[in-house]
Amino acid sequence: MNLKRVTALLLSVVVAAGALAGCGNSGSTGSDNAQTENTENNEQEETGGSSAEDAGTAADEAVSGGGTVEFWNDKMANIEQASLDAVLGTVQSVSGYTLDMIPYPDTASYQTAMQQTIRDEKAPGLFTWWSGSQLQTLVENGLVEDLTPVWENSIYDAGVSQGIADAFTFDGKVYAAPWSVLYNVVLYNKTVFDQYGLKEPETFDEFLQVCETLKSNGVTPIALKSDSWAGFIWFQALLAAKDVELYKGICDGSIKYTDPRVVEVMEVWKDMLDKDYFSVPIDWSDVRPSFAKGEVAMMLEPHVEFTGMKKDFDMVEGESIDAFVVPAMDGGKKTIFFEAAPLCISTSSAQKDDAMKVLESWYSEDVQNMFHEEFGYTNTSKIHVDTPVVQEILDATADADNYQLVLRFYESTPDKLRDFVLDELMRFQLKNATVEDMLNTIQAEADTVFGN
Amino acid sequence: MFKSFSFKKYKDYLYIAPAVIFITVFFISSIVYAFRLSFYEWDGFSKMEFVGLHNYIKLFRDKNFLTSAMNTVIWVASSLVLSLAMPLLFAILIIKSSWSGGFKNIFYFPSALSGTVGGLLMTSILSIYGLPKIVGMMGYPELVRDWLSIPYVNTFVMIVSGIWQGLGLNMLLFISGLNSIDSSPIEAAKIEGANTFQMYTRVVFPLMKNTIVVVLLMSLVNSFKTFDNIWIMTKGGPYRTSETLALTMYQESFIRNDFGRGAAVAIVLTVVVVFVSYFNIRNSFKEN
Repeated sequence: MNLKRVTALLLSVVVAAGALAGCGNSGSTGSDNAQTENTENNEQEETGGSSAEDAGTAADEAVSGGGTVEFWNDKMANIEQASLDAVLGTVQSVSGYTLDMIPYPDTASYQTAMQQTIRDEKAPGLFTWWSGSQLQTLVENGLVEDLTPVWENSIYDAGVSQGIADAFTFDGKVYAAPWSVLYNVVLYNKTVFDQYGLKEPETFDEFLQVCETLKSNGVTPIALKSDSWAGFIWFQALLAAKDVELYKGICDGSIKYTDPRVVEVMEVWKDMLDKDYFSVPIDWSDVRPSFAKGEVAMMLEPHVEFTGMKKDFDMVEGESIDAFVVPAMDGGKKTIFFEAAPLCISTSSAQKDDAMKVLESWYSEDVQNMFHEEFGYTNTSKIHVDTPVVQEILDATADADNYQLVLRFYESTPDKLRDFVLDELMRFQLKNATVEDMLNTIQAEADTVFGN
Repeated sequence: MFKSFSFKKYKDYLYIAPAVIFITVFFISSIVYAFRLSFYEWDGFSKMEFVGLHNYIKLFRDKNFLTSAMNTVIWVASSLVLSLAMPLLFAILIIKSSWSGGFKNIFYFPSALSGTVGGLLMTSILSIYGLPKIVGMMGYPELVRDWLSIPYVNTFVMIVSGIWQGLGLNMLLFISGLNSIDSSPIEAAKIEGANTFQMYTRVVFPLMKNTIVVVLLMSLVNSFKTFDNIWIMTKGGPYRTSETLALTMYQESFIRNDFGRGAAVAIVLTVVVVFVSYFNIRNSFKEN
């Protein structure tokens, strides 16, 4: 009986001590969390990457100025270790710094870790974020470094365009560098186009004619993704095809969603939906095989999807897959939408000076060529591209006479309104809302957000 | 004062102390923090701003929240009816089968999968290259579409998926309950001439009341907090039509970075679950 009492008492003390120890640890920084995430991620993918112990050691060294910079992100969890090693090795050889990559597999856990850590000196030197209002929040709270000097010293010279810098600029200062720049173009199944004697459309009428020909031959012309966030893809494309200033006015609230020109564009879109030029929204995992099999002929996606279709479905650029930009309705300049993921430096981080030095060599030809080779990224104009199709897209982005680069809707409009608009656009795409109903509903919300 | 201290007097409290401390530290404190947070506007980085009841007022005016609440009611009602009736029926049918062990394994197998894996499996089965394609080949081409992308229909598809995963565990609990019933009241009922329907409704089910209450409560709480299946299969879409309150709470907090609003959803959900569970438990065990 006594033994039972003593055992019960001991167990109580042990559990209570454990709970208190847990509370004590809750005050530690996200660096510890990150190490755990990193370990789990490495084990999960069986890539044999660095262990938590290594990451911890590296972090300690970095804080004391040992030449290691932590790089947190949520974009590398599914990348093969060999690709990571190649990129990290090149960064190290060019910058002289070891980059300690800590990839988070989940966006929510990544954001939470950053929220807990970003004000601490153990915050990562480098981290990826999202442009638009999410970057603006960090800037307004003084949490990220002004990178204007790095841009002036190295990034502009490497061939990164002013348009990209503008996407990261607040009050005249550039607060991020591009981790990746993706250009949205219409990828098309060239085998299907060749089969029906179709060529890349140069005018909007030709584009509609291509859709009609495909439809009449039993091929779904354009794939729509069912992801709720994807509703803006054709909305922005058609608005900019009508008038890019109309698109910009919609984004900044200077033009109403109920403007007659917007209504006109939406009627064009509705007509295309009614004619079944678009698939019903389907899961992304179904879009890709449908495209590869030629059941769907076109999809409006980032140009790096070339790499994915090549790796996963053996499609060959220029032979079975190619790309074009949506033509303008009035025959004017074509609009290429881009999305740019920002790479930031934490103001509080003890590694920020080292991170600045890493960033200065980040846009060297060697590093960016490796990014292109491994991930398909084309961040600078000086990289070596051996695929003519991709080179054509890059040339187009630099051809200001015929093309204009514009930041996509997702990052260009306030996020409070954006999420609302995306839901309404998806409702419209699924034919559960009329043009008038949708635009009036969105404008009512826009009035609140823009304070009209 | 120390003289009057009796170890015996406090022994029982010591036994439950670890659980009480654990729950206080990790659950009660979280609820208190969430309650406080629900009166603030906070994006995770900026300064927290006190907004009073604004989050709650906006919540009840938000059609997405109302859709989410309605979906939660549908999930709970469906789960209560189907998660109770089907496993009970299966348990009665299987218990006297000569191959009951085999049936138990077959029906329990989906329960051994995590909700995430189950969701992924169902997503593959329901993709346009899965079950819809087979149905299309059988002469119904209009059904070849992504069923999980059809607003409102997808909720019922996911409920069926959830029942597929939860059926096995409930069935085993019912089999266990049936096996533990004292046989003498049943034999007495047989001698009195009760038919099968009367036997189950008037003798067997009342004797299984405690098992039924446990299964009912488990299904109730599980259906309120349903998350993993929906997150994997639709992420609450399209246009937030398949969200439940648990998903709305996550969306608002971690996807839209509106922690105050997310906390308000959490508090509403907690109040509803505590309210329903309390009255359910109290009424169910009243007689005992």
